[in-house]
Amino acid sequence: MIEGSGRTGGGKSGHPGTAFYIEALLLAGVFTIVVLILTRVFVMSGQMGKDAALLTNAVHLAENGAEAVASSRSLEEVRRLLEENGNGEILESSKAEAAGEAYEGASGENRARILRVHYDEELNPDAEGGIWMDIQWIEPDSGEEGLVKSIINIYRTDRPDPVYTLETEVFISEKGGQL
Amino acid sequence: MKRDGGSSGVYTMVIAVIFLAGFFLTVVFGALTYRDIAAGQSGNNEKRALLSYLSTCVRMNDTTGAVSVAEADGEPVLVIADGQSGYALRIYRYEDKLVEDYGEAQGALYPDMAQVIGETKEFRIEALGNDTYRIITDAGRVLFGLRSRSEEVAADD
Amino acid sequence: MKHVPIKLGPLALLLTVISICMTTLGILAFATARADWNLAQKYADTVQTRYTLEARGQGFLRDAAKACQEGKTLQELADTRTEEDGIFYKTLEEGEFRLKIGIVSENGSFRVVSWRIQREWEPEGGLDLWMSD
Repeated sequence: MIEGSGRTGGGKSGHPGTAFYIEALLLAGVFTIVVLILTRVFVMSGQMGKDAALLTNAVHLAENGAEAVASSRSLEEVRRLLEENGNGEILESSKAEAAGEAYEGASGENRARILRVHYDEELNPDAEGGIWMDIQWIEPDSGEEGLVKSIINIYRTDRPDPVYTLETEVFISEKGGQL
Repeated sequence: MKRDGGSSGVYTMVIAVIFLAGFFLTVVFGALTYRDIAAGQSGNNEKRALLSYLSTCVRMNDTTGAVSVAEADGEPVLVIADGQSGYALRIYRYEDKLVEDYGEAQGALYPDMAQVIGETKEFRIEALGNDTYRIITDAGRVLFGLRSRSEEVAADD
Repeated sequence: MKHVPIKLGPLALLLTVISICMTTLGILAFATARADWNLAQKYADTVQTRYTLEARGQGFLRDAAKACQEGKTLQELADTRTEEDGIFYKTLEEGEFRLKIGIVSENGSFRVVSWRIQREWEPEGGLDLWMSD
């Protein structure tokens, strides 16, 4: 029987050889790193998949909001088109100023008003939902027939920044109707 | 010798079990993650296919009187006219699928020859006034407003 | 000191095979998620483009209303063309999308008769599927 100093035994004393320990250490180290990297990849992929789903939902909501704006002559009308199960509210001026940006085109006053509509994760109307759409209705200077600008932001509870932002405009004629 | 061989096997087994347990957990985690990713992708594709397709069809054909809502066998049908040809694209639900076919605007539907857009158990069209409609499907709701106006609507303004 | 004989060779081989399979799964998961994200981004960009076009279109309507108020005809609007059906068309482009607006004069004002968003598409040429004699 050949006694070597490798894996199976180390010399006459019976100690496992250094090579064995090094091999075992390397094995443990390499596969631990592999597991850690793979776990990181899986976590990253899972998060990316969730972000994609959230973005798709946000875009879809914003599109509906933009269509409502295009079909409306006032923020109240937008609310009528979008609100279901009491999931909409029009923010008062002070809240609107806090929530939205001042429209520079307005004559010194903040003419932005905001409609907030809540949805759940499945995009069903839900007054307590964790996803909401803020629709800013920014009218031009009074007495001037023109374009109403609308900025639509989609938010989710766990994110401070909007998930998606969409801007559009709608022309409101002098008669208060659309052409 | 026999004892050494036996204990060699036991120790090898223990180390193998530890490593394999770690890998097994990673495999399970990875498989569950991939399942969620695939399900999410499938859901996103379904949503885009159903809802985006509806709004795109309407947007591409928004001319006076081209888009209308009809009813067949108690089910709503979205009719999108193809110019002045008298023919139209008809979108409706058939056997829990959203389908479209092409035929005479006022004619009978051809569900057997229709192309499937996506699966949905629900397909409702609500008229909200001012040429604005809400379509409700399993994938969600899509709102669209027609920009074109008919002469009667303009006269009322 | 009693040595601890452990055979690491077969174990290392098994774990290497498992690692390769797992890496493949990881790459697949990442690629799938990435593709989904890219599609979502593309959808987001498409919708932004469409509503930028919409905003420009609404701006055109404002210009048309202003022209009507000033007593001008729709033909005097910039970059419009009149077709045989008497409709005045204005085409706006943004990215791959094109918005074709059709308006007609009515009671000193105008009415929108067409608002079509289309995507540029060019048919592939050079593929003859069937040659008739």
